[in-house]
Amino acid sequence: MAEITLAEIFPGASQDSTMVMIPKSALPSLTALAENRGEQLLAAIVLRAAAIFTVAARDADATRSIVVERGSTRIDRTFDSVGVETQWKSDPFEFQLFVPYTPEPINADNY
Amino acid sequence: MPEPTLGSVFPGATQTVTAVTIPKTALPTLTARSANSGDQIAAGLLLALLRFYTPLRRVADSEVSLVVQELVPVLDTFTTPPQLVEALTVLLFRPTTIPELTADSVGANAAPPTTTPPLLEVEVGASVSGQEIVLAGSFAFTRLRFTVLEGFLYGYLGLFESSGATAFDTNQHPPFLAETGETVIVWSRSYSNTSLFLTTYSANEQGRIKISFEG
Repeated sequence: MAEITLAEIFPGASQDSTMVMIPKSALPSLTALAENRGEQLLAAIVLRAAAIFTVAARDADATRSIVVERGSTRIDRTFDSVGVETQWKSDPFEFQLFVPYTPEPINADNY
Repeated sequence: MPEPTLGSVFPGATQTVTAVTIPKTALPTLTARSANSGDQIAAGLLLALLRFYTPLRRVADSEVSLVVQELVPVLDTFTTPPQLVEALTVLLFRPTTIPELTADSVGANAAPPTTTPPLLEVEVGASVSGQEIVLAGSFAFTRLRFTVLEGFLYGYLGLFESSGATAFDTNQHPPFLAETGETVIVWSRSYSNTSLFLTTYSANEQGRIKISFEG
């Protein structure tokens, strides 16, 4: 099967040799503004990747090189320099990138 | 510390209200072509995040909402051809408030001690207004049975919760029989140590009715 294209990941996206353009409409849960915060955009890119690079998609197409799995939400807490506590929820997304590997013969001289 | 901007993660990136544009030079290790594959660009985006959103950055500034951790690669030699599996974890942090631990909250996930009564009968006279029916204990009902024991009922019956909310109203769920006999209504509801209040809508009722709550 053909490798996934940029536009399949982000509908409406385009590229040339110097840049990648991603429409904000391709970024889930993002409220598009003239100046979205950087982390808003990055979180939306992660969410879109998680929706596209599923385990099922790679099971169906072994040419896929990326799999994203969402883990369980965790609770965390931090303390500032004067001991004030802030509580956080963190959502983990595990990305697996599959790279072809050629095993090397074992050479005694390397040991 | 101010939140990192798009341009600080991807140098040269710009945005409008409709789109984000990222120069390929901001995607580490990517060899820019006129048509890079989607996987290549996604990997480049991820590597940029990995380089910028280190665990140390968030330790130094809790305003940073992302952390990317690189895990130990794994060799998958069971596939043909063998593959090296690089794993990265992206953590998205958002502030929250952890509920205070109280003794009462422990075990709150357990199902409430519900008993299904074989039959809970309440006998009331007709032509009543606000007759209280005390339901002691916890009960889960699936059926409500009205039985006219004597006489007749031409009107309707309403059962109301103490808040005034309608628990059941035969005016909304006809038919309701008028002669001696019974009507069974399927009505799934759970109540625990509460009261319902029975009211008839007409002064013409004559007789006695029985209300049965059945599990």
